Amino acid sequence: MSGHRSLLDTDKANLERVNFLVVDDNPMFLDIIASSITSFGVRNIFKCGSAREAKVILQKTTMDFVITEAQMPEEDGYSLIRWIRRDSSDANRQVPVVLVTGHTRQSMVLQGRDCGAHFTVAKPVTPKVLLERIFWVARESRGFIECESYCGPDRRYKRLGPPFGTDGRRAEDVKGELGVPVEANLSQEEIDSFMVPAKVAI
Amino acid sequence: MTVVRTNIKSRLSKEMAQPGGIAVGVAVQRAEKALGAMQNQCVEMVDGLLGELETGYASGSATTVTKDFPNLYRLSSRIIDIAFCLPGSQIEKAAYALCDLADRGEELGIWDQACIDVHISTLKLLRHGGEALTTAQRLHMVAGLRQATTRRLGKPAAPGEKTA
Repeated sequence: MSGHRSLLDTDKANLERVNFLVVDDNPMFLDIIASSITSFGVRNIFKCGSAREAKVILQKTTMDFVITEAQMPEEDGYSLIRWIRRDSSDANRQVPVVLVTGHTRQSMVLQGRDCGAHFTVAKPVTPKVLLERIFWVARESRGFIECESYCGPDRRYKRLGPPFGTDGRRAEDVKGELGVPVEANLSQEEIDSFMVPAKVAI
Repeated sequence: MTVVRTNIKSRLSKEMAQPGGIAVGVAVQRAEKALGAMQNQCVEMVDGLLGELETGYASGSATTVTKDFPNLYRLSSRIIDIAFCLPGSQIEKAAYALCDLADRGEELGIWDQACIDVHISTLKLLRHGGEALTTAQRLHMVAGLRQATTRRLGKPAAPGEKTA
């Protein structure tokens, strides 16, 4: 299961003692996010206008959640996340990070995939989407991968099966020829939806 | 290549499971109310950004158009940041299209003034169109912007693919 189910209004969370770091060079956006997460019950919010400021705070404080803008003038969010994954303190190396972006530059698409963020969220960010991502990160059982070329949460969490034409590297990957695909694989969510009883009008 | 895989429960999930806290419905409602209080301020900022776009980059209003791709990109991306204040206007989609135009224009070294003018006019129309514009019309306008960029600059390259 991907575990990324929609939130129910009755789901509950205690975010009082959670440390949040928000990084963006736009002060208005910092206020928007801070205002949303304060409403979720978060008391400890650290706001930074640059990656440099964020690094200073990350060296002193253990964070539980980081939200960073992808594009900032001096050092971008991709580079900040790579620094968190490789060079920050042990306490912060695996911290959940959400990358927010209004627009992804063509040259940055692969950076976004490989920097080590848990999720990328498109701006404008609504409170519901933000809270949903916080729940998703808290609920998910994704492993943390460290190797020469990548450091961050396992990027294969949707269980779409191994890439076509390969045997896959996971024990549960089905090996052998399954025939020629005629359309895209079903996602785990689509498969799950077959099993969910639904109300129908007769 | 050595790959190390660890599975550690985050402090976030432990803290969230502590007794107390608030329900999702209440939290989202509170956050929407808090953002509502910032709405007027954000609308004023959007108007300010549209003004900067017009005076700096629209051929009809700007005394001299500076071919400054990074600033054009920055102004349109700032509109996306605060576009929650104009729900249903689709202004964020038009601003996204302008970001795309600035990004790809910079990459290809093409400053297409006519296309930039169309984007700025559309942004203004989406901002001030009010109820005179239906959602379908707004989306149609945004789709037109995408088509204009593709027509002028070609299709975007796939990730990792080098452009000419």
